[in-house]
Amino acid sequence: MIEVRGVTRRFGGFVALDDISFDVRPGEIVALLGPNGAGKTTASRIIAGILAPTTGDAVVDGVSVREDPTAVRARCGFVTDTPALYDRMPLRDYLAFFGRLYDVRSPAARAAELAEQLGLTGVAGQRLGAFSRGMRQKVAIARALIHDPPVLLLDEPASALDPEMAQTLRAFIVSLRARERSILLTTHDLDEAQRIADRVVVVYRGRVLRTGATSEIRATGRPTYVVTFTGDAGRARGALGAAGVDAEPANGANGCSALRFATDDPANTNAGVLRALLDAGVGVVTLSAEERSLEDAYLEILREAKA
Amino acid sequence: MKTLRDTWLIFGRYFGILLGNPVWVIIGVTQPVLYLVLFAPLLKSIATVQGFPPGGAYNVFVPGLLIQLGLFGAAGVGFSLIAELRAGVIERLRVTPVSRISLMLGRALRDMLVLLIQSAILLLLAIPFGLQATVGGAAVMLALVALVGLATACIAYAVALWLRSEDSYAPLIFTASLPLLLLSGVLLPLTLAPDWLRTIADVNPLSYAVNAARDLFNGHMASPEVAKGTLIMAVLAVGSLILAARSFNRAIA
Repeated sequence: MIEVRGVTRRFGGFVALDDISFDVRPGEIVALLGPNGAGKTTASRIIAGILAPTTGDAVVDGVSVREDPTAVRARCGFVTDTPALYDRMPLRDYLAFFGRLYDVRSPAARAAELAEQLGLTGVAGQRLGAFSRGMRQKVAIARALIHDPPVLLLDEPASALDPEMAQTLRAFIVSLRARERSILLTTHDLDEAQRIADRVVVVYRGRVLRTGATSEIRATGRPTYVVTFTGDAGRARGALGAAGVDAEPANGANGCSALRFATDDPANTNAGVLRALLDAGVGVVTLSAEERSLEDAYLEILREAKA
Repeated sequence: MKTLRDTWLIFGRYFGILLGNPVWVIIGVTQPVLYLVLFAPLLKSIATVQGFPPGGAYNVFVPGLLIQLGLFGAAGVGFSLIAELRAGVIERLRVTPVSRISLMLGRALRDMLVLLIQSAILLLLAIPFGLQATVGGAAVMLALVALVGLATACIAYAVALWLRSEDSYAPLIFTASLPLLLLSGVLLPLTLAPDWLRTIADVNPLSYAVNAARDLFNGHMASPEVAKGTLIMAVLAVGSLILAARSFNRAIA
């Protein structure tokens, strides 16, 4: 369990985090989203016990980072986009070394167990310098799990990985959720967040803009609809404009053109759209609600914040 | 207890790196050996000059050479720390529950071990040239070099954490080391120096270490100079270690 309670962090006069609060429950993956400089990494480092909050507190598995950061570090696994391994060390020695740092009872056995879980048993005796980018990231994840922590902090764990390796890693992260880990995923990859995150926290300029279930966040803002049709797209757009509907081109399919529009009153607007198009002699094929991606919702949240 | 255990683990890790590249230990002792072979003979002709300390050229020069090794051998350790900071390796260690002072002390102990090995090599090589020393004197001498090395390494780590750039670190650390060396009487005894130079040298802790080292090699193990030099270097080493540990904590906070 991660509980972030009113955390503010200043670096000199710069406020990196401004009274942020959120939590991550056991068996939950929460995506921490935000543009560069929003404060995501600062928040992760505070939770990991390597950066002190200026005010407020973060509680990890019942332990306060203010009161006992060392005990907090013992409860967290931390993975970033940079594996930062000892290239000259064989995998099994490397993992066992970190096992000893975390005071794991049988570091060699635990290293072997993790190597097997991540499909690295065959290369356990090889030096890490010879590993591919994806394998190195797997090692970083194994290192973070060597002490079987209840909390995992993942900062862009799949960036720079090829799609197949990224999918493998995602599947592994999801399997950890099933084992009741609290997982905080910091990422710019909104597709990845949409696929695996149960909840989302959007931060901007050090403040939390929005928190909620991923499905709730995706439903944020005005619903959008797409109408597909045959015939002249210019005439169709003109007809909608005359009916007071502001539409923009969308991707059509099967030889049809498409327009997208947003409305707070779909019952009346959609009927008006159909009437306008039929009156203009446009052959309507479909009119359907558009499923919004997390990316669309996120960008809209940011647009509102900047406005 | 935890700090000791953590220090041992970190020391073991960096000692492992050393074992992977033992050649650097030998390369590190090359420069002092060159001084021994190409510079020390020049002192033979002035060893009889009034004001030259007793004991002969090698018993005067080699102790200073060992102190110089402690200073310059440890001054460059910040380069590896800067490289590890940049590569994210230090960050990976920081997220573990390992004691912060152990992260520093484990490295510094490795540096001390390297210096001790190099000093022992230098001592053995100096004996055929005419160095005379007792086993006890040599042992205390090695301890003194270790203290000089620990103090220098910790200061070097603190500077590296402050600058975080090899381009800035190299000129600063080596420019600062040179006056310390010249004002310690390593190359030529300060007994030959004018009064004003000796007055300045009085504030240089290394000059006390050099005086202590020369007394050790001349069989005066119980002399006040030995006690004073060892005490000053011990206090300096502890102070530097605290400074480095605080710098490490600040750099990561």
